[in-house]
Amino acid sequence: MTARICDAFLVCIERNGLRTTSIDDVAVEAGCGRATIYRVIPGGRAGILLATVGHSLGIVIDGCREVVAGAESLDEAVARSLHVAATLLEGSAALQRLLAEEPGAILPYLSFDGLQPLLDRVAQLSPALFGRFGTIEQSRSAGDWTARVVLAHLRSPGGPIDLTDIDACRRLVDTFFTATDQTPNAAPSAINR
Amino acid sequence: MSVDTRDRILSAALACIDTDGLAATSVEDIARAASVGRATIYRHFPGGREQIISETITWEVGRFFAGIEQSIADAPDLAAKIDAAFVAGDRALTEHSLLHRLLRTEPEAVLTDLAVATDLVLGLIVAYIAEELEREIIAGRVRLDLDVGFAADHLGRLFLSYLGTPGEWNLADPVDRAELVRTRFLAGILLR
Repeated sequence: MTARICDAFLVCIERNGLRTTSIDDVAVEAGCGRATIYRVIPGGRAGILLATVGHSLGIVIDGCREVVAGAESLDEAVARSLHVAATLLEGSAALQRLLAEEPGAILPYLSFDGLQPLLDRVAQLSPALFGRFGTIEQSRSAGDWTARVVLAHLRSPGGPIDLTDIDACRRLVDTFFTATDQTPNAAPSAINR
Repeated sequence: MSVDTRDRILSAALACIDTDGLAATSVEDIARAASVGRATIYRHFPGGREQIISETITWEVGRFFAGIEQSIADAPDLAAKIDAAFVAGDRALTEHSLLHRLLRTEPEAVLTDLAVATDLVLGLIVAYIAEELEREIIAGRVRLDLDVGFAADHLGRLFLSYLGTPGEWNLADPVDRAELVRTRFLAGILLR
């Protein structure tokens, strides 16, 4: 029922924006009563928004799980995850409308300490995605890196790196992620001298 | 209209926001605090209150990062500059009581204005890193085949990500910080 309500909420935001979406609108879209919504997701609109952030993360993780299944290395799994996560988020009309018209509603979940719960959730889910390629710590690190890169592009779109292009994702991973894992001792820097 | 007057208005607006918060700060409050008339305010900021608030946040974000830039000016290479930028940025963020208060009391408003300012700052950070990367290539510390624009964009975004939300990294700890800079920023671009 939670998923149905969150999906209905996303449809309402896509259609009308967040500010003008009422609990009644969500109830009609979800095909349930107001009381059901308050019982399943307490906290009114703020509660539904928080639940929908978690629900949307679940959709992205499911998308990553599908494409990671056929990957033969951690690098390829991370590149595919970057690509599918960025593509799903860019294709979410509700999220894009929020970011364009009411960014204040979503930015508290993507900024400063407010981002930490999302990163923590990603850390919990990462071993299921990347665990077969290495240690739990490596898979968490991969998940954290992927989430940071995707969210940085979600918050500030544009620039020379297009994460909806799988080749760009592979190049980014090859340059920065692979090296991260495989370079135990980088060249000396002034800070270590 | 002089730059001094504009800065005085922005400084007064910041003081008003500090005292009353974003939502309660009016053009009249700012005019009074800056000792200028309303007409002067509107000459400088035709968009009125919304424009002043937005530009005040951008102005303060600009000052914040200008402070970081100043503190890393003498660092000898890119690694030292990123390290010093984390030190200065982390300290400035920790000590920025107004930001912390606004994030508690008016998160939606402040984050909306901060997002606009941060986009502008990201461009400046990326340009700064690109210049440093060019220098590092000439100095023989960074790969010759590096796509500077590509790398600078990625490093700029990651810098803002870790500065705002360090996660498991303790930016006040030199060892932790050095590990973060080495593994997340430099490993892919230094000459191997």
